[in-house]
Amino acid sequence: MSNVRLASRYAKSLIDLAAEQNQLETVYADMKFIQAICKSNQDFVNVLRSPIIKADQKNSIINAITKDKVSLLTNSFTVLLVKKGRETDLPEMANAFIEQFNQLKGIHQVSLTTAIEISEEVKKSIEQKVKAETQFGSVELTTKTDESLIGGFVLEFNNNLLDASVARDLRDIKKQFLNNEFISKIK
Amino acid sequence: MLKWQFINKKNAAITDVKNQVGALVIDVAEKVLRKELSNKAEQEAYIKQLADGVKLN
Repeated sequence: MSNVRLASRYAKSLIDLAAEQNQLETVYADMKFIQAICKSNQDFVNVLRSPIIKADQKNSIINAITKDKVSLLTNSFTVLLVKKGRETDLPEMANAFIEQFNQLKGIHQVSLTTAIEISEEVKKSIEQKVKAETQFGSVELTTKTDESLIGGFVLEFNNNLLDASVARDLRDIKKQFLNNEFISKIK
Repeated sequence: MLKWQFINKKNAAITDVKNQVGALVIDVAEKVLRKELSNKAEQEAYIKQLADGVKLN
């Protein structure tokens, strides 16, 4: 079971500790790394969540994967997690850490969905546009492709959704042809 | 049949035809748009044009 509240608490203390030791950026990179692993490798997450695998085995597995790739602080953090039996929530902690780091630094997550892959230049121009219109300090753009959009783009930022896709336009027009006002709806 | 009933039936029939034609047109339009926007250059030009026109707030 994922436990968001617990994850955000651990993430907060890790952020505080990292800030204290002036290692915020390194730990942030480490957390990105862990998040990427958790996303791409379900087996790793399964190992973390497994109640059968012993703590020292988990420790050596985590060590084998993150060896030489993460800082000392992150390493001792994972060791602490395993010791306390909280390694099951490591993926959520990584997410929570990145979220809190972004909040701390004033970075806003913007998600852009397009029908096909677009060039860096267009991405840049949209990023500039978002920055200028919303007065966000800095913007982190993540892109997705969804063929069913047909054309245009969908932009998500700050819990807002901007749908400028062709699929949406067609759907709106289609709606106008669904209703027949002259047939009684009450039978 | 009363006159208003007749007019109502007529309007209902006309609207039904309009709706069916509309649905057909949209199906065709979707196919045409898919074809038009299938290459990368067109798609990007369209996105740029949209992004310029769009208001975020």
